[in-house]
Amino acid sequence: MRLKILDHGHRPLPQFVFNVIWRVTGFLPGPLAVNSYRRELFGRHFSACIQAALRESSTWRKSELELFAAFVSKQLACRF
Amino acid sequence: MLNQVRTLLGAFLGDKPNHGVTSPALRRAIEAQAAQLSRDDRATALHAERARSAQLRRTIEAQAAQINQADSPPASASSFSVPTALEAYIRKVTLHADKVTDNDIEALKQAGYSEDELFEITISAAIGAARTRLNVGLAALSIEEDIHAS
Repeated sequence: MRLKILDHGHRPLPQFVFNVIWRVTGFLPGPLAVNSYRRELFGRHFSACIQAALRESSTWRKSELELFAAFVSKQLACRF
Repeated sequence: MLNQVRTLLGAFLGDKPNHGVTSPALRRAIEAQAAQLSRDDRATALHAERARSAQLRRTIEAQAAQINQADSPPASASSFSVPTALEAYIRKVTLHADKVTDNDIEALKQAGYSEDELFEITISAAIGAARTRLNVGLAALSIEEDIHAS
Protein backbone atom coordinates (compact mmCIF):
# COMPACT_ATOMS: atom_id res chain seq x y z
CA MET A 1 0.00 0.00 0.00
CA ARG A 2 1.41 3.41 -0.94
CA LEU A 3 0.04 5.05 2.21
CA LYS A 4 1.26 3.34 5.36
CA ILE A 5 -1.80 4.48 7.29
CA LEU A 6 -3.87 2.11 5.15
CA ASP A 7 -1.75 -0.80 6.31
CA HIS A 8 -1.29 0.09 9.94
CA GLY A 9 -3.56 3.02 10.84
CA HIS A 10 -6.89 1.30 11.46
CA ARG A 11 -8.79 1.03 14.70
CA PRO A 12 -7.95 -2.02 16.84
CA LEU A 13 -10.68 -4.41 15.66
CA PRO A 14 -10.38 -3.87 11.89
CA GLN A 15 -6.60 -3.75 12.28
CA PHE A 16 -6.69 -7.17 13.93
CA VAL A 17 -8.87 -8.55 11.12
CA PHE A 18 -6.59 -7.06 8.48
CA ASN A 19 -3.52 -8.50 10.14
CA VAL A 20 -5.15 -11.93 9.93
CA ILE A 21 -6.03 -11.37 6.26
CA TRP A 22 -2.47 -10.23 5.66
CA ARG A 23 -1.04 -13.36 7.27
CA VAL A 24 -3.39 -15.71 5.42
CA THR A 25 -3.36 -14.18 1.94
CA GLY A 26 -0.09 -12.24 1.93
CA PHE A 27 -1.75 -8.99 0.98
CA LEU A 28 -4.52 -6.61 2.02
CA PRO A 29 -7.02 -5.70 -0.71
CA GLY A 30 -6.80 -1.95 -1.36
CA PRO A 31 -10.57 -1.22 -1.51
CA LEU A 32 -11.05 -2.95 1.84
CA ALA A 33 -8.37 -0.82 3.47
CA VAL A 34 -9.61 2.44 1.91
CA ASN A 35 -13.22 1.74 2.91
CA SER A 36 -12.25 0.93 6.48
CA TYR A 37 -9.79 3.71 7.17
CA ARG A 38 -11.53 6.59 9.00
CA ARG A 39 -14.74 4.99 7.86
CA GLU A 40 -17.02 7.78 9.08
CA LEU A 41 -15.38 10.21 6.63
CA PHE A 42 -15.63 8.22 3.41
CA GLY A 43 -15.93 4.45 3.64
CA ARG A 44 -19.33 4.30 5.30
CA HIS A 45 -20.93 6.44 2.57
CA PHE A 46 -19.00 4.82 -0.26
CA SER A 47 -19.98 1.35 0.94
CA ALA A 48 -23.62 2.43 0.72
CA CYS A 49 -23.03 3.46 -2.90
CA ILE A 50 -21.42 0.12 -3.69
CA GLN A 51 -24.25 -1.73 -1.98
CA ALA A 52 -26.85 0.19 -3.98
CA ALA A 53 -25.01 -0.13 -7.27
CA LEU A 54 -24.06 -3.80 -7.08
CA ARG A 55 -26.81 -5.32 -4.97
CA GLU A 56 -30.03 -3.37 -5.25
CA SER A 57 -30.75 -3.23 -8.98
CA SER A 58 -34.18 -4.38 -10.08
CA THR A 59 -33.03 -4.64 -13.70
CA TRP A 60 -29.78 -6.59 -13.59
CA ARG A 61 -28.67 -9.70 -11.74
CA LYS A 62 -25.89 -9.43 -9.18
CA SER A 63 -23.65 -11.50 -11.42
CA GLU A 64 -24.25 -9.13 -14.34
CA LEU A 65 -23.52 -6.10 -12.18
CA GLU A 66 -20.31 -7.72 -10.96
CA LEU A 67 -19.36 -8.36 -14.58
CA PHE A 68 -19.97 -4.71 -15.49
CA ALA A 69 -17.85 -3.62 -12.53
CA ALA A 70 -15.05 -5.99 -13.51
CA PHE A 71 -15.15 -4.72 -17.10
CA VAL A 72 -14.96 -1.07 -16.05
CA SER A 73 -12.12 -1.87 -13.65
CA LYS A 74 -10.28 -3.58 -16.47
CA GLN A 75 -10.78 -0.54 -18.72
CA LEU A 76 -9.31 1.65 -15.98
CA ALA A 77 -6.41 -0.75 -15.43
CA CYS A 78 -7.54 -1.43 -11.86
CA ARG A 79 -7.70 -4.85 -10.24
CA PHE A 80 -11.27 -5.85 -9.37
CA MET B 1 -28.02 4.59 -6.02
CA LEU B 2 -27.95 8.28 -6.95
CA ASN B 3 -29.23 9.16 -3.49
CA GLN B 4 -26.33 7.30 -1.92
CA VAL B 5 -23.91 9.12 -4.23
CA ARG B 6 -25.40 12.47 -3.19
CA THR B 7 -25.05 11.48 0.46
CA LEU B 8 -21.41 10.59 -0.11
CA LEU B 9 -20.72 13.90 -1.86
CA GLY B 10 -22.50 15.86 0.86
CA ALA B 11 -20.69 14.05 3.65
CA PHE B 12 -17.21 14.23 2.13
CA LEU B 13 -17.35 17.63 0.46
CA GLY B 14 -19.84 19.46 2.67
CA ASP B 15 -19.06 21.99 5.36
CA LYS B 16 -20.40 19.93 8.25
CA PRO B 17 -17.72 18.62 10.62
CA ASN B 18 -16.70 15.25 9.23
CA HIS B 19 -13.37 14.32 10.82
CA GLY B 20 -11.35 15.45 7.79
CA VAL B 21 -7.87 16.90 8.26
CA THR B 22 -8.01 18.97 5.06
CA SER B 23 -10.46 21.84 4.63
CA PRO B 24 -13.78 21.18 2.86
CA ALA B 25 -12.90 24.02 0.48
CA LEU B 26 -9.70 22.27 -0.60
CA ARG B 27 -11.53 18.98 -1.07
CA ARG B 28 -14.21 20.69 -3.16
CA ALA B 29 -11.59 22.48 -5.28
CA ILE B 30 -9.72 19.23 -5.93
CA GLU B 31 -12.95 17.41 -6.73
CA ALA B 32 -14.02 20.13 -9.16
CA GLN B 33 -10.61 20.16 -10.86
CA ALA B 34 -10.62 16.39 -11.25
CA ALA B 35 -14.16 16.47 -12.64
CA GLN B 36 -13.12 19.11 -15.16
CA LEU B 37 -10.00 17.16 -16.17
CA SER B 38 -12.10 14.08 -16.67
CA ARG B 39 -14.63 16.01 -18.75
CA ASP B 40 -11.85 17.50 -20.90
CA ASP B 41 -10.30 14.08 -21.40
CA ARG B 42 -13.65 12.60 -22.29
CA ALA B 43 -14.41 15.43 -24.72
CA THR B 44 -11.00 14.95 -26.39
CA ALA B 45 -11.66 11.24 -26.79
CA LEU B 46 -15.05 11.97 -28.23
CA HIS B 47 -13.60 14.37 -30.79
CA ALA B 48 -11.08 11.74 -31.89
CA GLU B 49 -13.82 9.20 -32.42
CA ARG B 50 -15.87 11.75 -34.29
CA ALA B 51 -13.47 11.58 -37.20
CA ARG B 52 -14.17 7.89 -37.71
CA SER B 53 -17.68 7.95 -39.04
CA ALA B 54 -20.33 10.44 -39.99
CA GLN B 55 -23.01 8.38 -38.28
CA LEU B 56 -21.03 8.24 -35.08
CA ARG B 57 -20.24 11.92 -35.36
CA ARG B 58 -23.81 13.06 -34.81
CA THR B 59 -24.20 10.93 -31.70
CA ILE B 60 -20.90 12.01 -30.23
CA GLU B 61 -21.49 15.68 -30.88
CA ALA B 62 -24.75 15.48 -29.01
CA GLN B 63 -23.02 13.71 -26.16
CA ALA B 64 -20.08 16.14 -26.14
CA ALA B 65 -22.52 19.02 -26.00
CA GLN B 66 -24.12 17.46 -22.97
CA ILE B 67 -20.73 17.02 -21.35
CA ASN B 68 -19.71 20.60 -22.07
CA GLN B 69 -22.86 21.99 -20.59
CA ALA B 70 -22.56 19.66 -17.61
CA ASP B 71 -22.28 21.17 -14.19
CA SER B 72 -19.76 23.92 -13.80
CA PRO B 73 -17.77 23.95 -10.55
CA PRO B 74 -19.76 25.42 -7.68
CA ALA B 75 -18.81 28.91 -6.60
CA SER B 76 -17.35 27.62 -3.37
CA ALA B 77 -14.99 25.40 -5.35
CA SER B 78 -13.87 27.96 -7.92
CA SER B 79 -13.09 30.52 -5.23
CA PHE B 80 -10.48 28.20 -3.73
CA SER B 81 -7.52 27.33 -5.90
CA VAL B 82 -5.72 24.02 -5.75
CA PRO B 83 -2.06 24.31 -4.65
CA THR B 84 0.30 23.99 -7.60
CA ALA B 85 2.18 21.16 -5.89
CA LEU B 86 -0.94 19.01 -6.12
CA GLU B 87 -1.93 19.65 -9.73
CA ALA B 88 0.20 16.95 -11.38
CA TYR B 89 -0.88 14.40 -8.77
CA ILE B 90 -4.56 15.24 -9.23
CA ARG B 91 -4.20 14.92 -12.99
CA LYS B 92 -2.57 11.52 -12.57
CA VAL B 93 -5.18 10.21 -10.15
CA THR B 94 -7.96 11.49 -12.40
CA LEU B 95 -6.73 10.27 -15.78
CA HIS B 96 -4.11 7.60 -15.12
CA ALA B 97 -4.65 6.28 -11.61
CA ASP B 98 -2.79 3.08 -12.44
CA LYS B 99 0.37 5.12 -13.11
CA VAL B 100 0.62 6.52 -9.57
CA THR B 101 3.88 5.41 -7.97
CA ASP B 102 5.55 5.53 -4.58
CA ASN B 103 7.65 8.41 -5.94
CA ASP B 104 4.53 10.55 -6.41
CA ILE B 105 3.53 10.00 -2.80
CA GLU B 106 7.05 10.55 -1.54
CA ALA B 107 7.35 13.84 -3.46
CA LEU B 108 4.14 15.15 -1.88
CA LYS B 109 5.30 14.07 1.57
CA GLN B 110 8.53 15.98 0.96
CA ALA B 111 6.36 18.98 0.06
CA GLY B 112 4.83 18.78 3.52
CA TYR B 113 1.64 16.78 3.06
CA SER B 114 0.82 14.16 5.68
CA GLU B 115 -0.51 10.70 4.80
CA ASP B 116 -3.95 11.65 6.15
CA GLU B 117 -4.01 14.72 3.91
CA LEU B 118 -2.92 12.65 0.91
CA PHE B 119 -5.67 10.12 1.69
CA GLU B 120 -8.30 12.87 1.51
CA ILE B 121 -6.72 14.58 -1.51
CA THR B 122 -6.68 11.29 -3.41
CA ILE B 123 -10.28 10.54 -2.57
CA SER B 124 -11.33 14.06 -3.59
CA ALA B 125 -9.73 13.62 -7.00
CA ALA B 126 -11.19 10.13 -7.42
CA ILE B 127 -14.66 11.39 -6.55
CA GLY B 128 -14.37 14.18 -9.12
CA ALA B 129 -13.35 11.76 -11.85
CA ALA B 130 -16.06 9.28 -10.85
CA ARG B 131 -18.74 11.97 -10.79
CA THR B 132 -17.96 12.98 -14.37
CA ARG B 133 -18.05 9.36 -15.52
CA LEU B 134 -21.33 8.83 -13.73
CA ASN B 135 -22.83 11.90 -15.41
CA VAL B 136 -21.58 10.73 -18.82
CA GLY B 137 -23.17 7.34 -18.15
CA LEU B 138 -26.47 8.91 -17.12
CA ALA B 139 -26.43 11.07 -20.25
CA ALA B 140 -25.76 8.01 -22.43
CA LEU B 141 -28.80 6.36 -20.89
CA SER B 142 -30.83 9.51 -21.56
CA ILE B 143 -31.39 9.94 -17.85
CA GLU B 144 -31.84 13.64 -17.42
CA GLU B 145 -30.22 13.93 -14.06
CA ASP B 146 -26.87 15.45 -13.22
CA ILE B 147 -24.94 14.76 -10.07
CA HIS B 148 -23.46 17.94 -8.65
CA ALA B 149 -20.73 18.21 -6.08
CA SER B 150 -22.86 20.23 -3.69
